[in-house]
Amino acid sequence: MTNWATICRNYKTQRRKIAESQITNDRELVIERVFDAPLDLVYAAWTTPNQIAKWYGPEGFETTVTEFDFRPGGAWRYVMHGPDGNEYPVVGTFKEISSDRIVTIAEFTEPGQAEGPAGTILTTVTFEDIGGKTKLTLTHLHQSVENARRFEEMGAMHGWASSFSRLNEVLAAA
Amino acid sequence: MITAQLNATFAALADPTRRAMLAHLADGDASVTALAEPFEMSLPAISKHIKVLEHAGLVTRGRNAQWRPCRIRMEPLQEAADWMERYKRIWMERLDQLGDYLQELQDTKAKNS
Repeated sequence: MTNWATICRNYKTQRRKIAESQITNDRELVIERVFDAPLDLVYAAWTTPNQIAKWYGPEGFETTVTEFDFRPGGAWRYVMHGPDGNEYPVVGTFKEISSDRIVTIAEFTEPGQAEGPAGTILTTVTFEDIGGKTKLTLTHLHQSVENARRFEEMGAMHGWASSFSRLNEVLAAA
Repeated sequence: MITAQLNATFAALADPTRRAMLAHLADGDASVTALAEPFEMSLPAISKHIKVLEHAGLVTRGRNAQWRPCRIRMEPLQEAADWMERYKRIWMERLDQLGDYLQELQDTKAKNS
């Protein structure tokens, strides 16, 4: 991934041209990782509170999951207990959880910071089975308040649409 | 913490027109007319985008020249880059730990079976 630090350096020294696509890339972080473990195991590690506690916090921190409402719109709250004795809570909601295991998580705080920011960080995680191993793709995007609100509205509409389709199923079965 | 500056930077970068303008300005200072050229957009709409970039501190306007050229300011972009880099490190570490945890899980399972 090209990053702004490189672009800035190039700009200062050579005034090299920035491509628009580079600017787009630098608004989001994409990380891919293949785990030598079956998909079910990896997915469970992401979606079970006591398992999240095992890997989420930074090294030397104990993580406690104090809230975990794993459904669209449900809240989560983790508290990271630092070696210095301080507690660092992180909070957010689950935005979307799709049937093909794509999870979008909104985060309202940053690790190490107690106060809420004016923006939201959206992390979308996809899990893919590749011959017994699991490929995880994580996209991390900063959303301004304005965009987050728009997303919220979209999410609400999406939620309604799926409620209606469920209603139709129920009605059809009756 | 996500500072007001970071928010303003990311909000400004959220729009493709503004990103294209910044890419243009990275090539050198430009007039509003020159910036507007690639877009099928009214001049007031273009001005509005430039205002957003100015408010975010990503663009400054020349005072002297009659045509008040726009100039890119790299500092907020650098700050945004640092923020992203920090997050990248956090996630890399997290995923390393997840990898270790998954390995442990499977080792235990293998031992018990």
